[in-house]
Amino acid sequence: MREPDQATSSKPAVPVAVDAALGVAVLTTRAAISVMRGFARLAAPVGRVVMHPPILNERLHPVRVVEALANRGHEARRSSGDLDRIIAAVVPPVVNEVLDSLDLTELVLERVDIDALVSTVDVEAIIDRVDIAAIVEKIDIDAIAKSIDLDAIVDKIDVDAIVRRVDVDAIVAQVDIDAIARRIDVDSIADKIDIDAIVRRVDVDAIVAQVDIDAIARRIDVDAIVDKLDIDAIVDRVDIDAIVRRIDLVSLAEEIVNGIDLPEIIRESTGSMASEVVRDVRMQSIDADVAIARIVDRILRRRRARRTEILGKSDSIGRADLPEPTDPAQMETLLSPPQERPKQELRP
Amino acid sequence: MSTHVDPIPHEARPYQGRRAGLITRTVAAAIDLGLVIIAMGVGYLGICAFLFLLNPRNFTFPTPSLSLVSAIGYAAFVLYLAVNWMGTGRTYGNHIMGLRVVRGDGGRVHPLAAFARAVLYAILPIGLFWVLVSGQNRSLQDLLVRTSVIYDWDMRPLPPSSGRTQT
Repeated sequence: MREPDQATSSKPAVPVAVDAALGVAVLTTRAAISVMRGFARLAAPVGRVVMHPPILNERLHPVRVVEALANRGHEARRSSGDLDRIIAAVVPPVVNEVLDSLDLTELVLERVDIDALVSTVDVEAIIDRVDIAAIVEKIDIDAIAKSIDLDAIVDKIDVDAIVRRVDVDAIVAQVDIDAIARRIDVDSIADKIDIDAIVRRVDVDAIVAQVDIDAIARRIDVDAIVDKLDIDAIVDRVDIDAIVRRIDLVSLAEEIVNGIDLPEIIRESTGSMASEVVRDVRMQSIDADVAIARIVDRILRRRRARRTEILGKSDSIGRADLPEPTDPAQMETLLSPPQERPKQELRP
Repeated sequence: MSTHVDPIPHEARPYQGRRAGLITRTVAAAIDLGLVIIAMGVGYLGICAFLFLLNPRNFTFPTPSLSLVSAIGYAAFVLYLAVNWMGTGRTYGNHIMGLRVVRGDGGRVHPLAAFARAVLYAILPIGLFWVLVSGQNRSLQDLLVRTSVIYDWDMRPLPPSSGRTQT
């Protein structure tokens, strides 16, 4: 229910002068009607005589003129806009006032049987009469779509809550995976896959770096693998003669002999004291040569190393630059490749 | 089989084929000199024994003059050096000390050069000390005859026409 003051406040703004003039007009009209009714009662006999003079033909009676004028005025009243103007000026304020004074909603609820009214409505007929296609054509869906702020809508959606409410198990239980799998053409899918491109994009090094090879190796039961191997069969298949032919036994033997210092072993095994003394004397004399040469070169302030290579090669090594005689490792680096020699006795 | 065993000890291999220094060469020369002196003494004793066998009752030790002894000694020394150098390239002293006399290119010394070198060493042994002054470890005799004395512990003789400088 509306409050009275609220209803008053919703009135259209009609000047007070108009209301006052309307009141005067109503009173004047009522007074005029009363006067006219009295005058009419008094003047009715006179009027009948005037309108129907007995001396004149009935067609010439003034009443005919009055009737003609009345008809004319009636037509004019009907066709004229004066009445409309009057109605337009008078009716809206009156209607507004009436409507303001009434609570239409309450009135409809009390007076109108809405259920009965709705039951009489043929909704299906209304729907049939609606041209939905035309309505849809008039709708500018692009404009609507542009006006929709999808981001805002998505932001408002609580996806987590939605997902929590989804019973995935129930959905999956309803899915006939076998039927789906039967419908999948794996061969056609495999034909469309460019495996080479995929392999090129795979960083094998990164994958291998993540693999714990030690852990894998620890899990391998090497003993079990070896037990399964038929070593004898493998050895039978090995062409040892071919392997031996591919080995340079001569060079290998030469490296071994040079590496183990066979002359030294022979000297130790034969116990030749004379050769041992001779070797010591020679090495000591060589050391003495080197020492004296250094001293003399220092006295002579000789900057260049002595050229002791007999062929006078520019890259020869002077004795002053030679390593200590007791350092075999450094001496080996100074050696040139051994020349081919016939076999001979080992006595120095 | 073409392989061989290098008989030279590891510690001596870097020096092989290089000109020897003064000490080694002096020791070798001293051995040679001592050997010649011993040989002359032995020869003297042999001559004495021969004379004793010819006339035991009147035997007396011969007393040759110094010039004769010197001449014989020089001749023996030169002959000893020259024969060894033109042959194996090494005297007994060189053999003991692991030395060899070669040409400038490492080849075997010509007989005339070996003889000239022996004469020069017998006349002017002090020329050996030029080894200290020389930047190439060469004595005066080496410079005059164009020879070198190298460390060579290999016992094989040099080939007649080619040198061996490295072992």
